[in-house]
Amino acid sequence: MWAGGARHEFPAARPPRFLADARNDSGSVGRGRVAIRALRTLHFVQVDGRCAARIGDAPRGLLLGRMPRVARTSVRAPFAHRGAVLTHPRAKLGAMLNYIWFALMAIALVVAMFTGNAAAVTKGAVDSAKTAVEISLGLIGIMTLWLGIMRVAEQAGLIAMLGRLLRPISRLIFPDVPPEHPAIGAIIMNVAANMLGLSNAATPFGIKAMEELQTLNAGDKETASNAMVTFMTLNTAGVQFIPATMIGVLSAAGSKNPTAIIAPTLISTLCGAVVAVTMSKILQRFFPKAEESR
Amino acid sequence: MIRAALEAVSLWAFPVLLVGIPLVGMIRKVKVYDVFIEGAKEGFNVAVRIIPFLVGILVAIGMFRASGAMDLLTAGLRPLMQATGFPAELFPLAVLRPLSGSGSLALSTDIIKRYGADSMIGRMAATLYGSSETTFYVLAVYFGAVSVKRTRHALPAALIGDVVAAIVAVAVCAWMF
Repeated sequence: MWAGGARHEFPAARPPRFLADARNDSGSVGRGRVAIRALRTLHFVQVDGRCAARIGDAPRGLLLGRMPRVARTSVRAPFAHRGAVLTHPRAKLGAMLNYIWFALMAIALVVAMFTGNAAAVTKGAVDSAKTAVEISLGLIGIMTLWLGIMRVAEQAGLIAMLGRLLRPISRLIFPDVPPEHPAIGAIIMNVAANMLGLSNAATPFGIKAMEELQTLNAGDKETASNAMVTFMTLNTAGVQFIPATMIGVLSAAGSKNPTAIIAPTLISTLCGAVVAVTMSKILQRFFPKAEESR
Repeated sequence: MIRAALEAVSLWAFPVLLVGIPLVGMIRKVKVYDVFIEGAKEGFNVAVRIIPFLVGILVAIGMFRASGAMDLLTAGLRPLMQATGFPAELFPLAVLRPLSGSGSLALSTDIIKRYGADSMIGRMAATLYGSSETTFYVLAVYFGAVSVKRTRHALPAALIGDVVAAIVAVAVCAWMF
């Protein structure tokens, strides 16, 4: 899947490196020198120098802690290395949550001092902990069902099928990228996988797409190209056919019709995507880059 | 008319995909049941793995709410929000959505529990959560992967998209339900 990919230079890092089989959800990625590379606060898995996946992939929030299984290696390395693979690295922004989390509780205590709601605050904490576990357990059913179906979708080649349908749109959205360039293929596969809710499969395609777009990025490589920004806005919009997580939460909370949100979610996510892509086109002239890729 | 069509989409999308995806699999000679089981094994882990995240955030929000601070916040926001027509109860969720996936999942869960799974606010919260991505996280990951430091208009364009998605989510729910 990543054969013939662009080589990617990572900043100097001395991570553990060992010979192993790397595999992801679709099967073996290959046997090679697997390296775990730290980039800022994120960790990447490389197979023979090519970036294969990111560890600690959590694009859909819910999947925090779930790793693309590129990292599931038949490791011939000390256990410590395996530990390194399985450590969930925190994204920089995750650090902000530390402040928000503490502030919520601290403010609660201060407000309780004025309102005299101490007993209520205690009850709120205890009840919420119980609710959190109930909701999580209630999610097991639908997550199991949906992840199973999604595996079937992946094996049946539905990502590629959806990709063929999306090809005409990609020409419209990415006029700067030659239609037969490998970047287009990777972009389409990334969007198709995201639409099916296969965020594990989407991430490697997305990184590949960014690497390919980087080869077309004329001028300063540390500045994003127009095509890169447009691709990013497609991803942050998060177009998804079935919002499985929220359907699960609604049904765990006792909804009689949890799938009622499918149509409204689809409409709002499509509107968001169209606006975000349009904004990327409008704003690009106000954020000029010295040399734009052609 | 349009509303009926959309309700039909909501009603049929799930069961049709549930049968349609394995159908494509059958045509493509995939061992659908075996593959299903293989993928389904992960569902339990995914659900169980979010427990600590959910407990941490829901407890903080629960305390915040019980102390009366949440009422103060929404009351403070209300005049500001009234002008726009955006529900004050959902404003914190709309702000948190692009910043934190686990945080906004917990906050929307809390709202759904609090207002009811079939209530207007609950459905709006679910739709709002599903209508976007954790924008800051996505940008950090993909631009980080190719060492791009100057992201130009990526953040403003993405955030404008998120704002529109949130507004549309609320508007469509208000119209449909």
